[in-house]
Amino acid sequence: MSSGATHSDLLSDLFLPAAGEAATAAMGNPWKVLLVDDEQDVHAVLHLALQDVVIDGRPLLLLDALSAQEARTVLVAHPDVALILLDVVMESDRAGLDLVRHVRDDLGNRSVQIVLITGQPGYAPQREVVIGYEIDGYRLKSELSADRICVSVYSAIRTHRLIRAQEALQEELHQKVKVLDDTLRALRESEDNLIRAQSVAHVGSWTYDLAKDEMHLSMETCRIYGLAGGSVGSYATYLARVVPEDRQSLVAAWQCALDKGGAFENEHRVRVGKSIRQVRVNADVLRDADGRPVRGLGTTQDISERKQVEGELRRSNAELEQFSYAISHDLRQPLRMISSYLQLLGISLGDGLDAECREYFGFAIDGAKRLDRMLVALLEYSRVGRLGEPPTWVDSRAILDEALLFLQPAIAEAEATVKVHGTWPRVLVRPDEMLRLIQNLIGNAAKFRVAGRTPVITIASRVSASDWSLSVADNGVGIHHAQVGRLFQMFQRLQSRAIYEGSGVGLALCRKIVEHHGGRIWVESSGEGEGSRFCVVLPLAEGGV
Amino acid sequence: MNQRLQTRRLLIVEDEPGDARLMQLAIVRNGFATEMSSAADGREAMRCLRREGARWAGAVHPDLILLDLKMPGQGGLEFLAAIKQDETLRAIPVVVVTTSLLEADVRRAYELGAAGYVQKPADLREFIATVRILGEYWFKLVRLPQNGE
Repeated sequence: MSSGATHSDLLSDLFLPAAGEAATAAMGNPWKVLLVDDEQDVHAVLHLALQDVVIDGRPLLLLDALSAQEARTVLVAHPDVALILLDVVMESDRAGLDLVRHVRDDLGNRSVQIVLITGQPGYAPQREVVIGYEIDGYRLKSELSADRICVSVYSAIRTHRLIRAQEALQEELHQKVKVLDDTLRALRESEDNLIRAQSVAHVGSWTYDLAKDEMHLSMETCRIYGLAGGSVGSYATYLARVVPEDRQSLVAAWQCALDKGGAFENEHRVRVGKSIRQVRVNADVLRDADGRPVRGLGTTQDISERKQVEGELRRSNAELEQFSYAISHDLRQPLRMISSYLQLLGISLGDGLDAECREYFGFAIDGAKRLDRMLVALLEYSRVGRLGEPPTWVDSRAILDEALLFLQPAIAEAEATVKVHGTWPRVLVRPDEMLRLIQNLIGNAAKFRVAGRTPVITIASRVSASDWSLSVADNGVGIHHAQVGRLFQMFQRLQSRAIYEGSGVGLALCRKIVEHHGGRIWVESSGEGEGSRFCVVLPLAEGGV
Repeated sequence: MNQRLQTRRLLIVEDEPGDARLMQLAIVRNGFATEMSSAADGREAMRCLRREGARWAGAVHPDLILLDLKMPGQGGLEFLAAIKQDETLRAIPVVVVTTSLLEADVRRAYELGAAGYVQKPADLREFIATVRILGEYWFKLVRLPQNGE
């Protein structure tokens, strides 16, 4: 019924334009009436009869055609003709009837009204014509009077207007249906996407109606719980699937979300057939106007795999820690025995040793001590990101100052000039590791210097929208471009040990620290003897500065 | 000068004979006058302190204990906890001398009441230097409590 009301409202709008509109319409928007007759006299009569006719506030515009052929041309120029008053016999006996066919079938025009006016009813018998052709009226010229013509024109124009309104409505309806179709298609598509996304992410969704105690599950949720698609559950059946040890915390969390509001979140294990799955369930509780909970909208995520991986990771971390400890203790103790007692032997033999033997002792002891340093470095390397301080907000400049303080003796010994530039942001890092990184880079810059050249170390910091860039540049030994690839690898030395002491882990450690902070490290050097610049870029966490 | 001549009693708790020997050598080389005893694990060290068994019947409380952490049987931290709970023994200073670099070990040792934590040096020369510093401090600077005599 309501659609009927809209319909008639729309029609009345079309029929009864506001007074102002009617006035303007009268000026520019007349009803077009096409007169088709090969007799000039008929045109004159019709013009006379219709000259002052105004229908619904709009005058008539009379168009004349003296043949069916001419009428076709006029119709092309005026596709909005409302009414055709049409003679039948013109250039041929059926010229008028052919034009009717042309209008209805070729032009597809159903709204134009066609009233046949014939002087020779024998050529176009009324009954046959009305049945066979889509025409809207039939008049004999002999019965034409001004009044009759007017009545015919009035009724035809009104019918035309109705049909146009109907067509407009249909068009509008068609458009709306199309929009609805598109919307439905998009909806189905997004529903398909949602189902796919749920299955890819192992996240299912569900709704829970508190009053009915009904839980409706999405396809993926059903899969996670090992249920047939479209299953409906209840609070009790759900709880029965949860392993008993996890029930209490689940019930408490759900009750808390119902009582106090806020988001519900719980991880628990559910029994699926013979196996057990770990799920994380999140939900929002919807309430009625009085604040009473009515519905739960939630997601269920299958985190079994993640939990398993986490467990394996924990185990492997623990093993690594054991391994590190074994290295630090079990391997270093025997090494200490080797170096210490070799020294003791050397001392005991004292002057009995010639220079060559003393050198042999030296090599052996040095080797053992170097191996010990490598073990300590390896231990430190293996512990990056695993133990020690958690990431905290610190002033990067304070870390630099601390590093410079530690390096004071090395810098003084190298007689190096240290220049510090740029803005130093607050950063979210592991302070001990960051200190180690900066200390290693500056320490290297002071260490790998060229004899006879005053070392200049330039430390620069730059802050962009999302990154912190740090660079340490020197005028030292530089790096041959072919060796850049090896630089950050473990135990790779590019410089002779005789001149530059070190464990060979420093830059590998730097890289590991940088990568553990989600950043990148690289080196730029024009070549050997040309100095080098080590660059570090770290992402800036939200909430700094 | 006087103090150098005063004999100090030292208990080395160390399972590795090589390490125990190194420590003794380092003490002697530094010219500290000490009576040294050595126990191979926490349990034996405790028997020494409590004068249990024939071996320890005449033992006197040491002025300082040098304690290794990782030992078979009772480990260093357990031993440390045990003597700090014993009224008659808790006053004896214990310095941990170990290979362990783990912060957790350092923290735990101090929490349990260690008087110091020293990492074992890598060779003899460093060992001697380290023990010299230890001895200078504990045998000369610190007035050790006169225990149970």
